[in-house]
Amino acid sequence: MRYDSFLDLTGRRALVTGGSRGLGAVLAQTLAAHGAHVVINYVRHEAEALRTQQAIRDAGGSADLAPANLTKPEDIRAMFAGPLREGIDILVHNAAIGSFKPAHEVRANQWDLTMNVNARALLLCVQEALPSLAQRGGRVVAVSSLGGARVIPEYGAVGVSKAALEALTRYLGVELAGRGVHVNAVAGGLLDLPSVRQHPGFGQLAADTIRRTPSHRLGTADDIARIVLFLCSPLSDWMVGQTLVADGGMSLTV
Amino acid sequence: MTSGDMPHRVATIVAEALNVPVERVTPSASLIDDLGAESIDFLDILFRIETAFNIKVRESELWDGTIDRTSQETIDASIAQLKVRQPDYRWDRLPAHPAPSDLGRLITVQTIIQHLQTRGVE
Ligand SMILES: NC(=O)c1ccc[n+]([C@@H]2O[C@H](COP(=O)([O-])OP(=O)(O)OC[C@H]3O[C@@H](n4cnc5c(N)ncnc54)[C@H](OP(=O)(O)O)[C@@H]3O)[C@@H](O)[C@H]2O)c1
Repeated sequence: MRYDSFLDLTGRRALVTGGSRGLGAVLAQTLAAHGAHVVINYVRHEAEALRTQQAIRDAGGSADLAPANLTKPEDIRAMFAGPLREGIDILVHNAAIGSFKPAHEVRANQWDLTMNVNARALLLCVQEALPSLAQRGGRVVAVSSLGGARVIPEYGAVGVSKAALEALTRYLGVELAGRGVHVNAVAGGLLDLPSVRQHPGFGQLAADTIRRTPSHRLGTADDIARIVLFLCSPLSDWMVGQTLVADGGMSLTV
Repeated sequence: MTSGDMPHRVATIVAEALNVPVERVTPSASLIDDLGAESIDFLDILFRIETAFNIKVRESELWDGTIDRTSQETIDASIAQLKVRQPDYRWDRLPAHPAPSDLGRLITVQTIIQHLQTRGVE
């Protein structure tokens, strides 16, 4: 049996949270390249969102914008009542925020903000999207990172929020499987992205990561996009609530 | 809340976000130097301001509004103007010619209040 057609997302509507830039922009472009109509959510960087939308259109794809602050339940509700009123078939929760510091120094407001964007927003988006997801054999993909299961220095609140995101993925996966909604996650290692490169310590961090990675390189947005595509397709139908680790093997080494 | 109490509401928002007593949130208090704000806190405060006053705020307008970052000369000139407007700020803490990386320290509670005033919020 050939499965090529499983990767054709024509006629599917996909929401990519945080689709304006970074990894999210590549995820949006990848889903659009496979035929999905993509809705790009973002909160502040409209110029980047417009650029991503244009790139999708230039490549012959179809994309709309849906600005919404995912920390605000009322914004999420408005997004589903407005730009997403026709429902969605695919939800990729990629938006994330973080304060890069040790867990024991994270303050209450930083914890709340990080948890709300990185983890709670998935719950609220799924709640809003559930009628359409359940009707159309929907797919939900959460974008996590190695810090959800491992300890990454200075990654305190983000790591804990990713652990919550992965736990939520398991719960939603189990609870919604019977309704035909597939929920899974991908956890990436350090990615070679322009935003990551801007960090002052990037050179050292990248060198350390590459040294510890059996595949001898950093991950790319495209590495993750292929896995997200797989999780958005019927190829992954038998997976429920799983988090796929995509890190070139780094987390397996001691 | 009645109209006209915006500065007090701003102080309360900043105090709640940064978990500091509201008495410490004076107009000339630097969010970074006096109240301990970190970069994620600026976003938190921005989101809270947007919700409280039901407006959309562009980060660049709120935080960079009064400083022209084009060159060291324009930065120095902007700061000279700011010194007149904000005499209570602890200017002795900044270097004579602040680098772009120092400018965040200039953001005070008054910076937020002034931005909201330009937006017609009272
Ligand atoms: N970078 C890495 O090395 C790496 C590694 C593993 C996993 N990941 C994961 O990959 C995902 C993307 O990472 P990235 O580095 O591409 O992130 P990024 O460049 O910082 O972009 C973050 C995205 O999230 C959006 N966003 C943030 N807060 C939001 C809110 N309150 N409401 C709506 N949207 C919001 C941003 O929108 P605006 O553009 O409007 O600000 C932006 O589109 C994250 O889940 C991250 O944890 C990243």
